Amino acid sequence: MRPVILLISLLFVLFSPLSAQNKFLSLEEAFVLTAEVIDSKAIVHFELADDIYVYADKVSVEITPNENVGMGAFVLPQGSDHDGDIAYFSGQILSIPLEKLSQGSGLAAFELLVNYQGCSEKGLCYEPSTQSFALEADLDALQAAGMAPVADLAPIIDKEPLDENNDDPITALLTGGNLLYILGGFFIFGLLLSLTPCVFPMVPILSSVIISHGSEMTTKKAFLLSMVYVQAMAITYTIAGVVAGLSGAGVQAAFQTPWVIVAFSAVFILLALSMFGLFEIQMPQALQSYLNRKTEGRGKGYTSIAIMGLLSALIVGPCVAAPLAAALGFISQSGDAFLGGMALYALSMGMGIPLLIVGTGAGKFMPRPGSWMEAVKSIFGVMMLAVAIWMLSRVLDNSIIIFMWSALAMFVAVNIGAFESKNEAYCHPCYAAQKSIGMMLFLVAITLFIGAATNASSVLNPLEKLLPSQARFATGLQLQTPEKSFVKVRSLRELDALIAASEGKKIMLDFYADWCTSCKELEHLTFSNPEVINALKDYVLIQADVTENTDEQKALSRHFGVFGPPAMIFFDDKGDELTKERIIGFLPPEEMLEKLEKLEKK
Amino acid sequence: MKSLFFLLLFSLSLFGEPNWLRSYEEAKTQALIQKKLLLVMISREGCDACWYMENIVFEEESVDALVMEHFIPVYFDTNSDTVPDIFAYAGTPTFYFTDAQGKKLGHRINGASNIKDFTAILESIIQEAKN
Repeated sequence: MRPVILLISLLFVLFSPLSAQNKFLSLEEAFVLTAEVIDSKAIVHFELADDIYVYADKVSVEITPNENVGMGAFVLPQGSDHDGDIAYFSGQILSIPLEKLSQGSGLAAFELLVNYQGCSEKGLCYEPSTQSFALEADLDALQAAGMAPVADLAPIIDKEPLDENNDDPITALLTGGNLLYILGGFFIFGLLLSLTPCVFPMVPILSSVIISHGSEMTTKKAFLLSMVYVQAMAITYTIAGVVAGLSGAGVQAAFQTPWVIVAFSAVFILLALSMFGLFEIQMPQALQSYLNRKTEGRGKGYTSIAIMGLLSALIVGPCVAAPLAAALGFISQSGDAFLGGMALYALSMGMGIPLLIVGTGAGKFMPRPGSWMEAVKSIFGVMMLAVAIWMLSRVLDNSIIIFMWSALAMFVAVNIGAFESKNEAYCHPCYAAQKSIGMMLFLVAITLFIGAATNASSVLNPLEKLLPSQARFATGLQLQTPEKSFVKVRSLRELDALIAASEGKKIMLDFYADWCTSCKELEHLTFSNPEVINALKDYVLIQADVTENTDEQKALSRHFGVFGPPAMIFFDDKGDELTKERIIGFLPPEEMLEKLEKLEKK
Repeated sequence: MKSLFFLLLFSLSLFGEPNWLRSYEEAKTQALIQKKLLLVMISREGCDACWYMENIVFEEESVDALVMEHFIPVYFDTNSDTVPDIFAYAGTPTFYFTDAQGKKLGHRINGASNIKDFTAILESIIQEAKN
């Protein structure tokens, strides 16, 4: 804490507020707002003096009630980060859609009120203020209330015919190559996809089921079980993909409803409990024997693991990446469900290969029964709990999730024996290592607990709320390049309004959902990369949030022919989409930079 | 084990700050009794510059000690409190210093200052009151 304070103090010395005493601008000098009506919109322009910023959440706009002119649906621009606050800087424009409330025509006068509050960087915050503008709108140019334009929701099949010259190599492969090439190509894409985090959560699921078969497991049986799991997954992907391609609707998104996720997490928790022989958690006898029958019964093992594979594909790892989108697009545009489906199957099998290896390996290298076996089971139990928490993070509040991670870490720490005195005379280094790991986990648990209590937003940065000054200092140094944040939209109407308001600026539209692993990765790795932030500084960043999969959100995806998040769509400064520059799926920062450079040259 | 938690609690409670009064009249009475001066802070919740004063400057031990020794601190939030008419302000934070009778000392201080400058301001007020 101390060095941070010193640094900040140093910063304040640099712009010496004492010498600036009484040099603060008056409210009127600091904030110059102008407003005008252009066609059917009222445009408000913030002209702010040097070092002046406005809190975005303190800005509001209203029209004094009158019989002629009203305000249409309107979302305020998101603003940029300023020391943890979201702020508008000089040059900010608000574009407010106007609506006609009467049947009249000709010019109609109305009063627009803009409320705002802001601060000077030099250390003074101004009192909230309201500025009023007497404006006139041409009623003939306005839409009647409630009739604001809603873009047509025609399916993309009519909208965007398959481009013969499409330079996307994956689509080119589908349209041009022979069957063997296509299947081989997609198999390899699948292998590459298996290296993304979408597949990771499936590893503990599969391995734990295999492990739970205990000593009866043979390599052959492990392979067969893994194969059944992977096949179920691949077939589900294929069917879901074909349905999605033909109907244009995301099937996986339908499974991302809170109750499905909660139910599935509950299954994982039960499975985890069944692993915990070592931790001596007693389950009701009936439930225990039921689970035993389910997971260890001989013949039934295959059915349950197939169901697991099916559900895993739909719920655990819904990932959309370039090859998948290409195959889906191909199906929807050519109507060739067979070829597209084959490609999808090859893709999913490629994704499943590492799972097959892990699953078979879990059977082959199965330790002999004994205490080791129990320890391995417990580890998988913990992994299952982790998967359950990870899934719940799509539907529960961050602080609750962080608390759950904290509880899990604490649970493991205690069970590893962090607080137990040495009672068995086995090798000293092992004891020391075990105890150290336990203590580390205990510290992790405490840190996370503090994070949960202080409302931290990410499990990766639990102390963020306790170290606000660090961010303050960091942004203080580079006030000129504040980190940009995305404006969220959830319907086409909001998006259209935003695109219209951003005329003259390039736009990047990002399709996002809370349940989309690759989207989170994009946020944490790519969009938080300083170079990427810098490269995107001239862009208006919009995020289409399709988490809830409502009709409006589906319409958004369908309008752009996006089958699921993540997808990034670029618009030029006239608001036209650069259709060939789309990005589907996760992109690491380096490739994102290359892409942006390429766009820059155009 | 137990001591670890106490250590944790203890370290959290270390971040003290002056005990701000919310009533100007009560502060004047206290100043009279304790023979101290008044430090009036006009603040507003959510104001960045006020945050800096409250969490950085007044948290600093030397500033804290100086304030505790010589001043009765009073705090007004322009949003939720009625600021006495004699204390005009253009924005937040704004600082005033008075003696126990309510006679103003020094100038009105507009905006935040860093630890060094704020210490200098406090010292000049203390000096002025002595003369």
